[in-house]
Amino acid sequence: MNNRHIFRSTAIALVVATAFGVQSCVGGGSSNNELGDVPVDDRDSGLVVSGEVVSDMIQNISSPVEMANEVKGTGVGFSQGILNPAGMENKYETSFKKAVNLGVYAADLGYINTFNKNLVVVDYLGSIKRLADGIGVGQFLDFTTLTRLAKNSTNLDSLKQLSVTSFNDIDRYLREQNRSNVSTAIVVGTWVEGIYITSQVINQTHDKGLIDRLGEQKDIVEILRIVINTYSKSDRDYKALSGKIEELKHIYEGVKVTTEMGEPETQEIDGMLIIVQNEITHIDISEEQVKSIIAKINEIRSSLVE
Amino acid sequence: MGRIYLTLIGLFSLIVTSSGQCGEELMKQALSEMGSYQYIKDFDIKLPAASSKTGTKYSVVLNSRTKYQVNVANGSTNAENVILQIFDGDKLLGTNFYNGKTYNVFKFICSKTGAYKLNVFCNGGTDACARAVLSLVEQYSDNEMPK
Repeated sequence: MNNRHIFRSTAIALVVATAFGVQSCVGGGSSNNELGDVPVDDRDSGLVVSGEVVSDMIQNISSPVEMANEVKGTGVGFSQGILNPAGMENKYETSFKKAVNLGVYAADLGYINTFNKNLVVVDYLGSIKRLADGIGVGQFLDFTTLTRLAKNSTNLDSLKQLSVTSFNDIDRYLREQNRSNVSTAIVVGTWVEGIYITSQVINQTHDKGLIDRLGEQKDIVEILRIVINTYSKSDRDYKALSGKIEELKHIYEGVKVTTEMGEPETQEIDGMLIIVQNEITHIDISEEQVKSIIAKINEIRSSLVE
Repeated sequence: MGRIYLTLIGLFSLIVTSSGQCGEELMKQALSEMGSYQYIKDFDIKLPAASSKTGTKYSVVLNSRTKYQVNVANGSTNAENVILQIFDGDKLLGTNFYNGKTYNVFKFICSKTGAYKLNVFCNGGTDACARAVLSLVEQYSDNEMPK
């Protein structure tokens, strides 16, 4: 399936969604609700984004750095047991499985790096390199340099930076080579593992910030659903994932995300330009919804890493 | 024959020079100017003269309760520095062109998780290139968010 067909299919899906009454859009629509007269962006009636934006957006839907920092910020300690163990790469035979688990390991690597567990990194780098070679992108991982940085505890910032830039280079290359289905699988794996780690920490801490972050994934799930559905027409692995993402989307329908609209401000403070968005996001998510989402994420993650 | 060699050497030098202006050296510069923040993503910006004023767009997912930095390294032959604008849908949130000055670095305090558009253009009217780096400055809890 070529990209043009994919984007057209996505656009058609979005047009159909719009025709059936989807009204709000990211940052666009406003309505009033229980918050009183404050104008709000009420996303519960659905999400409308253009096919162009969806194709672009999938590139950076999940940042292992942000997820890992958020988790570390709760004060909870490092737990290697929640990660996909290194050395599992031989189990993954299809390109989809290799790519999606490359993404899973990318999220794990971000988590490990954030906690400065550089000795653990070395094992994961080996698995990552072998999976990357398996889908023809191993040349973007400078395994020797990464391993040297991991073994030298004074270079951990360089290790973190090189790890992330390597994955961005892989993503850029795959898109240039019209292998967006492979790069999308990596992004999906990174997102699922990131949310899985977040979920495990929520189970331990019940941290409100993390629960809100889980609720905010409502829009992201919709973007993933659209893209995965497009590939699922011609790929068995994507088709299997598609059904599970549909179920996750169904659970998220009960989560309410509202935004009090405000006017952005730009200030120059001590020569530094600062842009402040000035909006307030409210996440209305019940304990039951959190449990259901976490259970479904566990199921999806198991189906990817098993 | 000598002339051919000289021409080839000249062409080779031109290629090396121009890749130095817009290639990996620019990325290294952008990363060194990022400071101590955590790298998230970079944007390889190439603006041909014909479309440099209309520019190009990138999509990026940003998270609520988060302060980001965007820093830009401009190609050495750019007639002017590139201008970046952040949009939420059609709503312009801000730009690095402020009070008549183009800033090569700015911070953005995001209060809503979602997909944002980064519009990049250059008023110089000639070919332009730049490398922009998005980095993580700080994540806030609800009650820490700057007002």
